[in-house]
Amino acid sequence: MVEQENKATLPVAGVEKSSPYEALMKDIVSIEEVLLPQLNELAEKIDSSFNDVSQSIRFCAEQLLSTNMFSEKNRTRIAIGATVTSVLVDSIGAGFSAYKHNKYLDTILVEKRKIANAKISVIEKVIPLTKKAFENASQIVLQKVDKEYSSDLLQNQDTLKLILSNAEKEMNILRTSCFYMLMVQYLHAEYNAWMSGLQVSDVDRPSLYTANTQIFLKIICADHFRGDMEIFLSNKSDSLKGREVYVLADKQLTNTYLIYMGNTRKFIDPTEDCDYFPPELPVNFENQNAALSVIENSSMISINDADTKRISDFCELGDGTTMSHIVFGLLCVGVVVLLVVLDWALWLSIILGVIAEGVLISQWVKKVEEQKNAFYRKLLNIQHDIYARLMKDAGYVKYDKSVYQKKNVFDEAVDGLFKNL
Amino acid sequence: MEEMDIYDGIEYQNDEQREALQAFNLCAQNVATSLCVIGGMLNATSNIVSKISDTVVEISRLDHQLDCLLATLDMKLEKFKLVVPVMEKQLNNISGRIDMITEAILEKNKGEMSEEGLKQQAILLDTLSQASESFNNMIFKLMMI
Repeated sequence: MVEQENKATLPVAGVEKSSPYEALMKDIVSIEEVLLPQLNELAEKIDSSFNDVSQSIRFCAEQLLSTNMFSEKNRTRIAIGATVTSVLVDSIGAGFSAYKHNKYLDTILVEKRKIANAKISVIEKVIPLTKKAFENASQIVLQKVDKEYSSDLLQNQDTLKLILSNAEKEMNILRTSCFYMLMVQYLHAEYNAWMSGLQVSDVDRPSLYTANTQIFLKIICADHFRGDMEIFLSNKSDSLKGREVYVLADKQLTNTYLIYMGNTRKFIDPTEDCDYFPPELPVNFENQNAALSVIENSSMISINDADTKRISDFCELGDGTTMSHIVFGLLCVGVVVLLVVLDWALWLSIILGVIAEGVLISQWVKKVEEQKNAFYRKLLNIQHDIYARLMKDAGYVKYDKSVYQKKNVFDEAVDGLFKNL
Repeated sequence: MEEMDIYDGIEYQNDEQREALQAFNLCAQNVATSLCVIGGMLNATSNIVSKISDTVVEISRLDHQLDCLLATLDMKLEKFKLVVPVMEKQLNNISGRIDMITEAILEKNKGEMSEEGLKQQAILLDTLSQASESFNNMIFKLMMI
């Protein structure tokens, strides 16, 4: 028990103390915090108000038509008039909502320009400083990526603890400095866009995931994890390389590594759907040594094992087609038996049998296809779920800039015209 | 159950009287239906008016909220212009400090790894973490004012 307490433990992914991203974004989004709910609320309110008006017009017309006070000709006129008016009201509502949306964006852009004018010169001075901070942190990590941690160091729990905690600290400094550098560059691009009259720049807002992927590819060097993977996992030697220690010690980097491996050793655009599959990590635990023991006890193995088990458990349940195969086989046998038994009307039996088989086969093929599709849909959902969790634990934050796109008043009005038709 | 005739029990002097009464009754029924329809329509109209006024109030509330935001941003911008020179100087100082600590760490890492060396590295890394945090906080403040 005491031994367990003293034992160096690797961090568990997903348990984050405080994210600098959240702290930084809290104030960056001060405009968005007020503007986004406003734009959404406005669209909803205007839309629902005009919709209510349109419904009321229809209701009045129905009331009038429920009486027998009007001739057939006038009833038709009332019905057509009410429909046209309510559709027009819907259309005006949609157009008005788009107009107000654009007006808000224009108002906020004036303010954004003021901010950009005041801050751009300062940010230009800050960019080289953040770059330098990042380079400093990179130098420290680069000095260690190829360094070997001997089995003596790894076997001693005190030194192992220090190695892992130092690696975590170094990675944290590097990631934060990388993130701030990217964020300042992003703000610079945004200010330039605002000054040119655009609502947003074409630069994607960085997240800690962006920083992690850059660090993984450029500093930890993904190339080392390609090919036969000997460097990491078959581990013929009894030591660990610095880059391996970083991946094992840093929870966000662990998740980044698993994403990379599960996406056939590449990173894809986070906004795209991904068929993530937990990678088969080429670890050979047969020859136990100090290095393998560290890998075996890492969160990397436990996360990947849990995800692999989740998928394999689901796959073991099967897609239910085995039962279909058995039932189909039995039916075929039944038809053959009938052919033998009813020998007094063999030709008739054969014809009937062929027709029955044809119907059965087509039904069976359809059913099996449906079962397979349902199975793969569920499997895909599980894969997406795992991928989304890994991305979140690797620091990914989704950002939607479409709200800053201006709306076309005419298009919105035309859409509104057909909404309730 | 047999349907009751509303004219049951009324004695008519002649057919003309009966027809007149029936015509009057029909007329009264039409008036009642019309009043009902008018009531429904008035209700719907009041609903329309209420919705429109709600929307107008909502839009002016949102306009006011936006005005408040703009005023706050203007105020922050004025504050930003005042503190920039001081903060720039501080930022340069911290950046210089980070350079010095980094050099010390790089120097320390050159030697053989031992428990003592790892402990010293840990202390230096803590110092660097603090300096980096101050540096990042400064940028954060500078950008967010």
